[in-house]
Amino acid sequence: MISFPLDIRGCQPYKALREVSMRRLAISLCMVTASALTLSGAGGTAYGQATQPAAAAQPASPPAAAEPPAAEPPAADPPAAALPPTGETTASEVSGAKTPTDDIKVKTRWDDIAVLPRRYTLKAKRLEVSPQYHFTLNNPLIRHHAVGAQINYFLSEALWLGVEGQYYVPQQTSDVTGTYFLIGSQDKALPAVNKLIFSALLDFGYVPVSGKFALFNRAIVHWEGYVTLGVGAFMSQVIPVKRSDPAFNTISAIFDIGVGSRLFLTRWLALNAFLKLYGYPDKFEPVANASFTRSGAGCSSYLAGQTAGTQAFEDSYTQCRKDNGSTTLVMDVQFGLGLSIFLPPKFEYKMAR
Amino acid sequence: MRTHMRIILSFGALALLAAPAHADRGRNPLAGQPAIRHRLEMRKMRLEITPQFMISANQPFLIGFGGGANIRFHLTDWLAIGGSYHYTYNIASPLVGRISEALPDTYAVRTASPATDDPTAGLRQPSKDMFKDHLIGPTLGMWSAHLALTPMGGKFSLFNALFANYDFYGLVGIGGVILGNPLSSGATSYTVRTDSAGGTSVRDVNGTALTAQNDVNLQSPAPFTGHRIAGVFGIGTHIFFNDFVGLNLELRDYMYKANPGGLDVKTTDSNSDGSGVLSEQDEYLVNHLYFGVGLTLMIPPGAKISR
Repeated sequence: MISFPLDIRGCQPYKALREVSMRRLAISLCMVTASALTLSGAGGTAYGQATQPAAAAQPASPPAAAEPPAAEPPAADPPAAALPPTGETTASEVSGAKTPTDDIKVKTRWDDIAVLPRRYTLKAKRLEVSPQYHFTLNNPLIRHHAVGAQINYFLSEALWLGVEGQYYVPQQTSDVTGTYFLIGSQDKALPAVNKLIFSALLDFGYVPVSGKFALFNRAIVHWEGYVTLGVGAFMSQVIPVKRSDPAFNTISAIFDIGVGSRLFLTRWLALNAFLKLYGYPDKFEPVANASFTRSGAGCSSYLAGQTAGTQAFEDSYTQCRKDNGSTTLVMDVQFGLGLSIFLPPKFEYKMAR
Repeated sequence: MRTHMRIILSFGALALLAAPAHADRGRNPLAGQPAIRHRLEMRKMRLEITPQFMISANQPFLIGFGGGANIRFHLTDWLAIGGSYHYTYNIASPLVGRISEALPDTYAVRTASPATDDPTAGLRQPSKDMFKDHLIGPTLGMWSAHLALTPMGGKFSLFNALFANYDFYGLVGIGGVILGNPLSSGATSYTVRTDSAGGTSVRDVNGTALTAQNDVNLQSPAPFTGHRIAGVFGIGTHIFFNDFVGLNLELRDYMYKANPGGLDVKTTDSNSDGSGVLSEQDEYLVNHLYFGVGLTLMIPPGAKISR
């Protein structure tokens, strides 16, 4: 085998190689080597292959700085690890040194890795605009469909203040399997029922839970869970059992308590699903007591001296039924879906990863 | 010339050798790999036993609450087969009270002398007792055999301090419900009003429908009781405190044909004289939602770790 003292990087053969045949061979070898380096990534390591530390690849020379300066007295007993006497000792100590994970059992090694190395999105000082739809789950007589929106301002990553408002569309099935219809059909009695018109609340929310999940172990989705509490006002309206009776309105206080979850689709858009309990004192018309009619004794004091059929008579009759209605604390469990749009859409992480 | 050919061939050979490496560099080396390696497989090849407390969510006349258990064997980390049985005790919902307020204490019946009948006899409005005695609900429990699919699993942080594994699952299967009259007084006869002067008499409850002049308020609701096959659907979540104990929350729907009010619904089964009849034709498909909370135990206690 012939070996040539060749400077590969510069492709400059020595003067001893100036013969024509040898020069051609050298040039071709030079080009072949350069091509190979170029095509193979110029010596880069493969993905996931750790680069060998230089200290382990080459024997370290004795550190010159290990010798104390002549002007200073040497330490009485310098620790061996601080001042290794030879290069062999350094390499063996480096290879034998414990890392923080060596004391962790294999079974529990993954347990100490932070669940959230970095928040997927930052919400502090951002505005959340959330158009929503929700409906009642637990009222057998009437179902309320609500369309509305919630606007929240995040004071921190976990805490927000906001407002919400809804307009309700009542749904009362009139088919033969609707509960309200069936009660009338089977029991020949109709219970009082009200429909909601609107509600508006001031909300407070907190995010105690955040995490991520693997979808069939193929995709990772970030989410957070929140609790919310709110107070506000609502308006409802009586649906009269007898169509000739007046439908009076009730405006009163309402509260809500709920849990929900945001499923982040992007860093500024999330799917919002929630379950809320709306509690409110609603006033129902007096159905069970048949005396509160236009001709009955229950409303006689309201209607005394008034002419039937006039507006004043009807107003007094409405007031009679309202005053003698029964107030019940209604608990509506509502399930809702919405989109959470965070504004501004972009944000910057303040700390390095 | 030979030298040039040698150079060209050398380039060609190298290019061919380097081609796969070049293609690999353009491809994400993580493509097709699991999203999480060394993942704690909380469910794979483990038996889940979950004693549960359960309460009904949407029954109009009854509030059912009780207990039972889910038992599932997880074939993989995302698929399980299982079964369950729950018994619920029933109490009257607030709606029962609101309806009862409007019902009479005594049922007014028609007699052979209509002139002296109570004026409300034609209304056929049941008495308070009749109304409650006809209400239908599960009295001997509910069972299911189901498949559970767990597509989502992960871990979350609570207050950025406590960490827990969790999963979301859905279940689908078949089940059964044994229906009865949970609020029934067990009366076999009722005192009824026979005239407007306050006269009363006693009428027996008919076990089966009469072929003529049948009164549904005086007919036993037996056609609506017994075993019913149900479709079972549900969603739920586990929040694990450690590798083998966790909290379980579940919303389950038993969908089956029933007649919760226990009185006449359809006229297609009426007698030829027009009198109503209680029969299975008066049943219709009803969703019965139940919310459950339980404590999940996973056996064996140790969970595997994926590759």
